[in-house]
Amino acid sequence: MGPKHLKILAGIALFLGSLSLPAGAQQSSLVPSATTPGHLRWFPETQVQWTPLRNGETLNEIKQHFTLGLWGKSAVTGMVHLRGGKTETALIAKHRFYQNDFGSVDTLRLAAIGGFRQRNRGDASGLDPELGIASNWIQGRWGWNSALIWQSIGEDHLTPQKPEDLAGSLLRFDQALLWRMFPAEYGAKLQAATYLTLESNVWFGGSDNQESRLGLGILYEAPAFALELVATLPFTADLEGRPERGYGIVAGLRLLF
Amino acid sequence: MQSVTLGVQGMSCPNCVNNVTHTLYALPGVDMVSINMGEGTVTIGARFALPPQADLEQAIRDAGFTPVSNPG
Repeated sequence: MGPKHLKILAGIALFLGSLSLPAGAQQSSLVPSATTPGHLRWFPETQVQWTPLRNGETLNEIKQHFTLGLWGKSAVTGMVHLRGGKTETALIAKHRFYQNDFGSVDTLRLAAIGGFRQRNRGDASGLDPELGIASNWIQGRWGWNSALIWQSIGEDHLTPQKPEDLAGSLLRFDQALLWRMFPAEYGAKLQAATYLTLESNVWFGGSDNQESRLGLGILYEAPAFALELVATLPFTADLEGRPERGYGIVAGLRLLF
Repeated sequence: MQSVTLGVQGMSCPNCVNNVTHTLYALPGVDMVSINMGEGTVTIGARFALPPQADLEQAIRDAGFTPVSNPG
């Protein structure tokens, strides 16, 4: 599948993704959150990532997620990732085991996350497990999201380009700091909110597969949809077997009914 | 129209308001839902009979937030 087809597919995915249902609150693109949709409410979310590599190649990904909320504290997400003409799928469950809503907008939430990924790797047909924990703390105009996820990867990708492409255990630590630019205070009338986001992602896959990246973004969240644009920046890399990633762009869109 | 106002905590964003609104509208008899994010309150109205307050509070929990019976 060539770049032209990828662009068309990205456009269709973004259009389809823009009519979805109540999403995670104040959720940044690159950090799993402890929020879940309401019971039996679901939403699709589309994300497009473009990252040039130092060897002249480009890592292009389209991610489509479908999340169903269960009982107000749990959710299950089906994921389809398209990359290089190949598809990887995943089924991830989330359960929020701690919740302290201490103000009209203030909250601290913790969730356990776990599931399996089917990675399209040569002749491998196994499922790769993952397990982790996510947190959201929101107070006033500030929010801090973090997640620690362990993944087991069974097979190398034929052309490794990112940390998850190399076999072995991978630990990923994500953080996002959000600051609500507008409005300064919520009022009686419902209005959209705009946030600045600062994100960091750290991967530790043992020697020669360690990497960290930063993200600077803007998140616009209206009652019926959320749109985020993030510029990702390389920070540190200790790699063997795959090229370094350069600056990149992530665009995400989710809709709510 | 009958109405009741409850407090809701943890509604940190506009998407949250959408979530609570839709969950309350799904209850039988509910004809109006109005949320004040600034005060953290939701006013639920019905032309006929309002659902029991326990059902309203459970709906708020099902949406993922914390109801407060007597908002300050």
